Formats: sequence, C-alpha cells, structure tokens
Amino acid sequence: MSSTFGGLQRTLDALNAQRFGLDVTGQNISNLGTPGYTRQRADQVSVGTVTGVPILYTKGENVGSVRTDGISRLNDQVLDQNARREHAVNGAAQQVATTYSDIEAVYDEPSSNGLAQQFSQLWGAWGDVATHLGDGGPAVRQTLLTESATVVSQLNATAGALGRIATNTLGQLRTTVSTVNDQLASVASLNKQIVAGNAAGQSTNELQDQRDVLLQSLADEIGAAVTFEPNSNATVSIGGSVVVAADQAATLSVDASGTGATTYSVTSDRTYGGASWTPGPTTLPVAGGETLGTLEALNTTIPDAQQQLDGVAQALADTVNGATAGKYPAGSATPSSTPFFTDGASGTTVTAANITLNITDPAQVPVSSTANSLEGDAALALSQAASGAGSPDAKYAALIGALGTEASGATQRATTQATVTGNADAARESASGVSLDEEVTHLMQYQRAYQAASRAMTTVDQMLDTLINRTGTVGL
Amino acid sequence: MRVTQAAIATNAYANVQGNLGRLTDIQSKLSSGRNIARPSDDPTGSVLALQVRTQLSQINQYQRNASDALSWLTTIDSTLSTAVTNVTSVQTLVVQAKNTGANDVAARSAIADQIDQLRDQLVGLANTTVEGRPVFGGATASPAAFTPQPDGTYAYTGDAGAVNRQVADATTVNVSQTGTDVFGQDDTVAGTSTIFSLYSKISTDLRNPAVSQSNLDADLTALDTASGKLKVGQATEGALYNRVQDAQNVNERSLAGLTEQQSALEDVDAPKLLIDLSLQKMSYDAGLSVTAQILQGSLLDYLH
Repeated sequence: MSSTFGGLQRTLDALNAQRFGLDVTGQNISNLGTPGYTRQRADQVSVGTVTGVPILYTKGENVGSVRTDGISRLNDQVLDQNARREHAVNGAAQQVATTYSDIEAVYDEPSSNGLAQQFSQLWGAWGDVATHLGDGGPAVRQTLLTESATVVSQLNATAGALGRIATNTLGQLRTTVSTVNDQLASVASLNKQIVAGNAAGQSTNELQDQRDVLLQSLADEIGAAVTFEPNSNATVSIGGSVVVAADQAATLSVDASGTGATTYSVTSDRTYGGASWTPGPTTLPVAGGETLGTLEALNTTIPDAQQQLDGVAQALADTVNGATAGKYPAGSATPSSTPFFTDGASGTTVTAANITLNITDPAQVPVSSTANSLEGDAALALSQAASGAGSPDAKYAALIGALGTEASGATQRATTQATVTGNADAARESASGVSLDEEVTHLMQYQRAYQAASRAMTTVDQMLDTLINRTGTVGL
Repeated sequence: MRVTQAAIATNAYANVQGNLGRLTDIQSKLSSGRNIARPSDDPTGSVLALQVRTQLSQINQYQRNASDALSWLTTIDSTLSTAVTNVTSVQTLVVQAKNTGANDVAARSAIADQIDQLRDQLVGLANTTVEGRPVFGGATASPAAFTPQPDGTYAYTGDAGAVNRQVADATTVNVSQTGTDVFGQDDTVAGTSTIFSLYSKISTDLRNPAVSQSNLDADLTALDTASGKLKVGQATEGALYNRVQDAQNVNERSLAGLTEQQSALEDVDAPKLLIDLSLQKMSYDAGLSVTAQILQGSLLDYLH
C-alpha cells in the first residue's frame, strides 16, 4: 500500500534519473576525442520495491523508484598501472635509441667521407712519400701533411660533435627535471582538491582525469610509479623513493659529481618515510622514463663513445710517432726529434679532442732510418700501418662495429617497446575510452525510458482523475 | 573485449605510422643508393665495408707503387742496354787498334779519343736519374752515383741502400741498383776499378807506343768482365720487371673482386628494393583506406 501520489513521485524520479543519464551520455559523446578523458556513467539504483512491506510505513521513503547515486569513472586501475609501467620502459628505450642514433650520425660510415677513408688516404700519402723521395718529394710530403691535418681535424670535429651531444643531452635532462617538478607539484595540488572534493560529495572525475594524464606523463619522463591511497590520494615514487605524498611534493634537481669524468644523477630535496618528510637531499634511483635514458647517455654511452674515439686517436699517434721516432728526414743527417702528433703541447698522450699535427715543414717529415738517405723505409712501413695490429683503422672498425650493434639493438628494443606501449594504451582506451556505438545505444535507452516514465506518469494521472472526478458519480 | 573508437584510432595510427616508416626506409635507400646509411643498418656489413675500403685503398697504393717501380726498371733496362752497346763499341775499337799496329800513333790516338768520348757517355749513363735520383746510386740523397775525382778516378757517391717499392702484401722489390755492382769500384787496395777507369787505362795504353799486344789483350779481357757485370745487372732488372708485372696483374684481379664485394655490401639492390617499395606502398594504401572506412562508421549512420 503506497500513498496516493506515490506513483506520481516515482515517475518523476524516473524522469529525473533518465534526464541525468542523458546528460552524462552527452558529456561522454562531447569528450570522444579529449585526451585522458575517462568515460563516465550515471549510477542508477533502484529504490525499495513495490512488493512486500511498503516503506511508507517504515521509513517514509519512496518505493519502486530509481535514484542516481553518483557518476562512476569507468577506468581500470590495473590497465592504467600497466600502461604507466610500459610508458616508463618506453621513455627510457626511446631515449637510448635517440642517443645512439645521434652518435651514429657523428660517424658518417661507411662512406667516402668518414674517418676510415681518411685513414686510408693518410697511409696512401705515406706510401706516396716513400715512392717519391726525389724531385717531387717536397710536394708529396706537403700532401702527406695536408692529409694528416685532415685526419686530425676530423678527429677533433668528431670529438667536438660528441661533446655537443653530451651538452644537448644535459640540457634535455635539466628541462625534463624542471617539467617533472611542475608536474609533481600539480599532482600534489590535485591530490588536495580531489580529497577535499570527495569529502564534500562533489564529483572529482575530471580532476582524476587530469591527474592521470600527469601521472602518465611522469611515467614517460622519469619512470614514476603510483599507488592510490584509500582516500584517493596518489602517492608518486621514483625508483621506490616517494616524491609526492598527499598534498606535498619534493623538488628534484640535477646533480653532477666526480672529478674528471662527471657522473650525473637526479636528487630529491627531501625524503618521505613512515608518514613524514625528512629534509635533506637524496639521490633518486631512477629506473625508467626518458630521464633514465638521458642519465645513461650522460654517464655511460657518450663517455664510452668518447673514450673509444680517444683510443683511435691514441693509436694513430702511437703508430705514426712510433714509426717516425728517431728517423731521418729525406737526405738529412740529423734524426727527427719532434713527435709527429702531440696533444697540442709536447705530450704524446693524446685524445681525439686535443690531437695536433706537430710537423708543418715538409722537409722535417721523417722517412728513413739511415742518415743522408732516400731509402724511405720508415714511410714505406707506415704505408702498411692499416693492417698492423693495434692500428687506428682496426680500432676504428671495432668502434663502428660495436656502435652499429649497440645502436641496432637499441633501435629494435625501442621499436618493440613502442608496440608494447601502444598495445597497453589501446587496452586502456578499450576500457576507459568512449565508444560511440555504446553511447548512442545509451542515448536511445534513456530516451525510451524517459518516454515510458512519462507514459507511466500519464497513466497515474488518469487513475487519479478517475479517483477524484469520477468517484461517487456512479449512476449519476 | 570492449572496443572503442579511440582504441581503433590509436592502433590504426600506430600501424599506418609503421607502414609509412618502412616506406621511408626503402625510399631513402633508393634515393641515396646506399644500402647501409648508418652502421646500425647492418653492423657486420659496416665493418666488412670498412675493411674492404681499407684493402681497396691498399691495393690502389700497390698499383701506384708498381707503376713507379716499372718506370725505374724501364729506365735501368734501357740504360744498361746502351751501356752494353757502349762497351761493345770499345771492344771493337781495341781490337781495331790491335790490328792497326803500334807504329800508327795517329790512328791509335784517334781511337783513344773515341774511347774517352765513350767513357764520358758511360759516366752519363751511370748517373741516369729518375725524379732526380740516380738509379744506380742505391738510396743516396746525392744527385749522382759516380763523381769524377781530381786524380782521374771515379768515386761512388751512391750507397748500398735499397729503393723499395711494395707491390703486394708480401712483395717488396728493390728497384735501384748499387752502382759498384754494375760499374765496378775504383779501389787501389783491393785492386778493382770502375769501367770508366778501365776506359781511361785503355786510352792511356793506346797512346803509349810501348804498349804490348798482351797488355791490350788483358784490357779486352777486363772489358769482357765489365760487360758481364752489366748483363748481370740487366738480367736482375728483367726478373724484377716480370715480378712487378705479375704483382700488377694479381692486384688488378683483387681490385675487381673487392670492388664487386664493396658494391654488394654498400650499394642497394635496386630491383629488389623496387619490388619491396611497391609492396609496402600497397600495404600503406590499403591501411589508409581501410582505416578511413572503419573510423567513419558508427551506429549514428543507421539511426533515423
């Protein structure tokens, strides 16, 4: 037994609920292409029942009606976490591949312009010097000096290019860390708003969407992991070290340490443990994201590449200096006392950056092991240097081989990881993205429900009309 | 599984993008003509390509060395031929003088003058140069192999050094000759003399009315010995010439093989790439058209 006007009230509830459902569907359709938007659903729940003990007599509430309880955000936490994890790996993989690709571009190999070709030309020039020690000698030796200067400047330029890659990568790291700081602060402030909104009973779905976009970006950039607290706070950690807890965010900075070879790291200005923050810098064990890639490039990949190139330069200096030390210039009675290549001063421990051609006078080029002779045996030996053990050619070929293998591996990993990440994104889109077909179906469903509820209301109205206007008029 | 428009779009974009990437790869290979644009395209191939380039450059160097060696050897050959003719002329003249008889002083003196001329010519031959270097002077830095001395002897101003030309990996040839081996050496202690001094002695003998026939016979014998040395020099040179030519032929074949290998490593296989290109283009077009059709449709198209 329900109240006289209970029927009207119930149908009104139904009309409201369907209209609200239409609103939410409309919002979903509007945000079909909005990045980071998670589809929402009006949660309709039935209220009581028309059978059994009427609630009128127990609690005074409507029965057999419908009520909108709230709006659900239909995301899948597991898929979100999975996508963030893959994005963290992807960020690092792409960055590593980019670094290798940059380094590869420095060595234009195999080509007619690369260092390998220039080494060959240098040895060829030594061969020509050995052959032409007569009248044409000075001109040929001048050519040798020009070839030597070309190799030196190419080594210097390559070292410079590697240095620029390092500088650019460091700049990129600093920019990323500063972006990350902004995003960590935003996450902390969103945490605060979401918790407050939830407490006030407001819908925080849009704020959560924004926060998810930031969290994904953080995963991409620095491999940040997220755990959600029961009160909807997102706790962000990097390599296990917490950087956002509730409405507080740590500030990160790039730290350079070590003498000679600088080691870069990312530090946080405070640590979170237990339930409180401890001030004081701490190094973050970055385990993913673009930052991992840039740190790896700065601390390992680029220094290794530089070291290998330095090895090539040293091999060149050792080979030529060794073969010319104490040898006599063409027809000269005094042996050469100056090394062919130096470090720019008088040292012979060279790097690719400082290797310098120390002989500028063609008459000073040492060619023979005998005084007053045009034997040219030293020059002839150098024309064979390419095939010698520990020759710069061999070291350079090894460098190119190793670089090629590493770069090819890095590119493959990046490609694979991009596919995996794309799949994770697609899986998440499948769960939380808007399906137009589904929304249109809901649109029809709500529309029909609205029409039916109106029909029910009309029917109740007609019944009441019968009750009010026709009762007692039987037989009149 | 729930499928949404956004998921379809993400997937389609990734796939079409991948197709376009592969298309770009093929296109860049075709337009550059380079099979290996960067070492990571083919790490092993890159290293091989570098090694082949080094070998090519090395063998080209051998070929340059060989042609220089041949120019030295040719010079030595023609010089020695002329020198042999020169000695033969002197032998003829001495025999002639022997038959003239000791009394015909004027005739003998004329022959002696001719021999002096031939001596000067022979000294010139012994000092033949290539690029300003005497070919019979070993590795000397001096411009001449034999220098006349005030006492009438000829000092060897060359040395015993070698002018080595590398014409193959393990083949080095000495293209100069040591002048003293070919033309002899003036050494009073050892009792040896150069051909030039021998000529001087013969010329002096012929001007001396008291010279005996046996003296002239001894001179003829000495000339034979000298001529023999020149011929030995020529034979040595001839053997070297053949060796260098052989090396040159082997190098030619190596160059052809290496160039072919380099091309196989570094140059694109155009027909294969063109087929790949059309396949890839077909797949890209298909991807685009299918994606466009799928993403267009929704339930809305069928509602009225």
